[in-house]
Amino acid sequence: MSPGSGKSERPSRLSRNVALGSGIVIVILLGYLTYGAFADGSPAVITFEVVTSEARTNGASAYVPIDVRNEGGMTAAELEIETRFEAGDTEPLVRHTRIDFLAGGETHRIYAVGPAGAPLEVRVLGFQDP
Amino acid sequence: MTTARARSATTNGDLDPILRACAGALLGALPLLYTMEMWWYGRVVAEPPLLAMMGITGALVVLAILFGGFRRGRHSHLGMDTLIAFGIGIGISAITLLVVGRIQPGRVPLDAAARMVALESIPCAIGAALAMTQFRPRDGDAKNVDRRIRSLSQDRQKVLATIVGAVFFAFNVAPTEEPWKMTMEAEPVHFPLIVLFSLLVSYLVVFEADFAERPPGYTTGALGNPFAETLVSYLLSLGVSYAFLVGFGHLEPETPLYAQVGATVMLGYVTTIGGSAGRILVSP
Repeated sequence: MSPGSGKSERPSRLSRNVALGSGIVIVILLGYLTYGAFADGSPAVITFEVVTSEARTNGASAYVPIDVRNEGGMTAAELEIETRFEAGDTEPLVRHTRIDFLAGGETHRIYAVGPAGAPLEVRVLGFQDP
Repeated sequence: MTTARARSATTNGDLDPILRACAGALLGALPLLYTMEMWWYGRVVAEPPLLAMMGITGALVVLAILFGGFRRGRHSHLGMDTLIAFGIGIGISAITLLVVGRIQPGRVPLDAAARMVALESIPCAIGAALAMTQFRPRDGDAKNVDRRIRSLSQDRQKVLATIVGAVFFAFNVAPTEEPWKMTMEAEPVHFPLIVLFSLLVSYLVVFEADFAERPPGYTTGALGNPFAETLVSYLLSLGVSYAFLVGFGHLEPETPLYAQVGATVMLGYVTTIGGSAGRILVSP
């Protein structure tokens, strides 16, 4: 069959509407990505918030949520967080948690589990550029 | 059956091909929507290479539709079918990532979500384009299809089909760590074996497995000889393999040459089979 030999046929309304909707979505996505290419390229800045209001206990254990946030523009990779429960005279309970990737502006919640009532200390040990 | 389909097409408008495109996007890209490295890469990739990838994908979608054939009388609306395929790719990608919780509003920032959706939309769009064209009903439907790609020489058709197929398959493997890990753990003897096996499989799939009849003139041109076609298609597949390894950050300028070649050959096995699949699809 030779190209274009078929009789001319008007596209259905459905096709036109889907194509129009698709075009709008594509333009928005490409526009946003293009904007992002010129937007914030600041280095990653990691902050955290211990969400004590949502902490809960189960027997002698406390489950404390910690929201780790990247306030910068660049993604942080292999982010390492240390949580330390100081429990009186006994050895402190130290845990390391790794977050694979944390994009700029992204928040990731981790939980520290330790003795209820013990003070919790959180530290960001480091991260890498992806 | 044909009458029923014609009636269905009349009452549904173009609903059937649009639904097929949605299904094709899912069937083709679901493994990638569930691939951890794709989410990671979506978080870290810069916008310029991502936009470049989407531009290349747009060209591939056009090629896929040209290969598979767009609806008769619609050759002036090739752009419309391309928009639909890409739009469905973006929609399926976004909905799936939202539903499975990889994009959580308030936790994943909008720009990271946009990059993830854009990246995942690439294989979805190719799957949608192939499904719109290749997986349609065969009963008499060929009359209603305009395969403009037929105006190209057989050699060019084979080259383009190889690239489309290789890219589609490469997307399913290249983002993962496995090709690189396999390269690092392989013994030197494995690489020449992979080359030979890739060539053998490519030849068997296209010329011996009898998937499709050859169109008239298939044996014309510089690639008319099966061995020449197999060899050139393999080199093209290696090119696609290398491009994907660089694109997904597995290979860098400082990567030792041996590792670059090894990884290209390792992923080249996948792209070669993809290229073979592409050449089968162009044959009917």
